[in-house]
This record gives sequence, structure tokens and C-alpha cells, in this order.
Amino acid sequence: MNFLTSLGIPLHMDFDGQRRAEYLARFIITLFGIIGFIWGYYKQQFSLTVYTCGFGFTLAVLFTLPPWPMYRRKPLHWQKPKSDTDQKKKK
Amino acid sequence: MIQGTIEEIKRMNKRQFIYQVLSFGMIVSSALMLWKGLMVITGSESPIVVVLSGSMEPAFHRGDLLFLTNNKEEPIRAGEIVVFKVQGRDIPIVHRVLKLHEKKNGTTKFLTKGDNNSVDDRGLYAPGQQWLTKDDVVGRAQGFLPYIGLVTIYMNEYPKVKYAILACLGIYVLLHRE
Amino acid sequence: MHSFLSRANAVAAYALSVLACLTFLCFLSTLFIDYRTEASINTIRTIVKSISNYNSDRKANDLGHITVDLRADLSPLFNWNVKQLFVYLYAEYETSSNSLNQVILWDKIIRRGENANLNFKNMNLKYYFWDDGNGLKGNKNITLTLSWNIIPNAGCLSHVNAVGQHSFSFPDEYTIAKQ
Repeated sequence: MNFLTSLGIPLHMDFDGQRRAEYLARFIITLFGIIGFIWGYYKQQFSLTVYTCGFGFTLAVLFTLPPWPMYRRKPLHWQKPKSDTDQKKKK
Repeated sequence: MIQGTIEEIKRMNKRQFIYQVLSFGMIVSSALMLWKGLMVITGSESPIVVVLSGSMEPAFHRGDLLFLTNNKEEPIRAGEIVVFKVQGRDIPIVHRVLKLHEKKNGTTKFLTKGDNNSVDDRGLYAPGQQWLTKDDVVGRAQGFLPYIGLVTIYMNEYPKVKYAILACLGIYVLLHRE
Repeated sequence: MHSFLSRANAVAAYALSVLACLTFLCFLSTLFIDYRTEASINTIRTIVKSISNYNSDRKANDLGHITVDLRADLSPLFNWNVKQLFVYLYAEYETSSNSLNQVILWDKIIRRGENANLNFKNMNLKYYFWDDGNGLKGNKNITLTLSWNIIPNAGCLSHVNAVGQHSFSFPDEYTIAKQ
């Protein structure tokens, strides 16, 4: 993992992005789970349900694991570190 | 990595460390309680077994999980899948009852065969043993779950994996803080 | 802040729990299905011999020889939680020494998608019909039952007897074995 970061590929999302990524992942997996259950029941073939669920998992991984730009829109703005000279001036 | 772990331990105070150890013990003991509770309910000495051989294919493959019961009042009948132990063999065998004879005084003897084997199990029994009795039976298969047991098979075949997983779990539980 | 790995772990864990939940729902949806159906069994030839059983205790035991007609359509029994049927035909009878004898004479594995319409005429049986002694000669009440063990994708391993049994009797004399 550190190898990727050293190449300049970022792995972190901001806090808001994490929240939305997790919500989206759960939504995708649940949706495909429900579709898979109905389709498998209709076709009477449980393997269809399992494959649909697996497809949903793959989609969720693709859309929510990599830190796409949409999950990095609200970075934290830290205050600039105060230097010693600044503090001396206040006195 | 190791240095980080040591520093992590140093940073905890004593109370926190004891709390972690106790919650780890809690997990272990509740798992044990669950297992022993299942033993009491099902009457079987090992209520869940992993299929280790392909002799019941295509019904059971290696790594499938079976749930057993061993209710003494309920008699064994032909066609049922029983798990039994043979003297001199450590691993219990999962096979189907092929023939069964019950004497008037209630003692039962039976012969088993694997679905995927072409001959019955007399060659697998202890030398000179012709029949199985109720005492040889660990349980009768009642429920089935596929694939779950593959993890334990891999762990037994590659012991290093087992120790690595156990070590990771132990460190995680000890160091994880809410 | 969660790292990449802990996010991957969370997604995988959630997908696995959804899959477990779906499997359980599939098991529930087939829990109360009635798996009984009709079968017609008839015996054509029934003879009994007295032969030393070298497989077992080397004493002269009764060996039955029967051929059967068997008809049953099991295709309606399959659904999305039936991986395989283990179909077996067994004889059940009482003798002077044993209060209950059950001997499987024939079996067949039918996986889902294979032909499940059984129709056999004058079929020889797969296993020897050895008695545990000399209880077959002149036995007037031997019941043949077709039965199946349902092997699910996940769930109960239930045993179901077919509706329709067949009873027959063995002759009072041994057929001399031609050797």
C-alpha cells in the first residue's frame, strides 16, 4: 500500500467521501442482493442469486473503494502552523 | 511494524490492558459455551463436522459442513447418513446406511457405504468387524452448508496459515480500542 | 480516518453477510414444501437361494433374487434448493430372529437437470439381497418402498417415502443354485 502512495497515487478519502462511499457500497450490494433473490426465485436457480450478488460486490468495489475525485471534494483545511516569530510579535 | 506494536502496548495503561485481555477471554469462552451447548442439545459429541473425503460425492464435497444430531430415542434407519468412528482411525467417516438389522431386544447392527464408492465399508472397519452398532455413531447428518469448512481444511493442510491467522486475530483483539 | 484496507474489509464483510442472509432466505422459502409423490413398484421374479455368504460370516444365508418394475416421476421435486436426490429402494421385513430388517436393494443419484423420470421394466437390482440368517424363505410379508434423500444447496437433509409401497412373498422352497 505504501508503495502506491509513494508513486503519488493517493489512497485516502476525506471524511464526507468516506461516509458517502460506505452508503453507496451498502446500497449497491443490497440492491443487487434483492434483484438476485427475485431473479433466482423466478428462474428457480440459486446460482443466479449468488452470481448477481457477486456482481453487485464487484460493482461496489469498483465504485467505492478507489478514492475517486468525487470522494475528495471536501478536504480538511488545517490552520497554518504558527511560527515562533509570530508568537513573539503578539507579545 | 513490530516496533509500532511494542509502542502501542507501552502506550496502554494497565487497566486498559487488563480490559483487553478479559474481553479476549470472553470471546473464547463464549465460543466454547456455544459449542458445549450445541453438544447438549444435539446429544452428539461433535455437532458440526467438515466433510474431508470425496466418498459421498456429488452430494458432499470436501469442505462442506454437516450438522449432526444423535438423539438416542430416535432409531437409525436405512438410507440415513451417519457419521461414525472406527477403532484405530482418528477421523470420523460420513457414509450412508445400506443394511440394518434390529434384534428383538432392541440391539441394532448396520452396514454403511459411501455414495461414490462401489463397495460397502467392510474394508474400512476394524479387522474382523462386520457391522457397526449404535456405539460407533457420532451423529446423523441433518443439515448441510456448502464450502464453509474449506477454511479449516486449508488451515490443517498449511499449519503456517493457521498460526498466522491466530496471531493476527490475537494481536488485533488485544490492541483494538473502541 | 479509515484506511484503504479497512474500507475494503467493510465492503467484503457486508457482501458476505448479504449472501448469508440470501442463503438463509432461500432455505426458508423451501422449508415447508411437501416432497412426497407417487411411485408404482411391482415384483416380477422372486426366488430365494441358500448360499454361503463369504462377505459376512461364511454361514449359509438366504439370498433373495428379485426383479422389479419401477415407475416414478420425480422431476416435480426439484426446485432452487435441491442440488441432488439420492433415490433408493429398500426392502423391510420381519424375521424370527430380527424384529426389523431394512436392506437397500437399489439406489440412484439424480442431480438437478438430469432425467428424473424413472421407468424401469424387469430391472435387476444393484445390491445383493442377503438376509442376516435364514429369514427370507417362505417370508410372506416383504415390503418394498421407494424413498429419497433430498440434498439441498443449504438446509435440511430430509428423507421422504414415496406414496405407494409393494408387498410380496418369497417361495417356500429354495431354488437350487446352478454352479
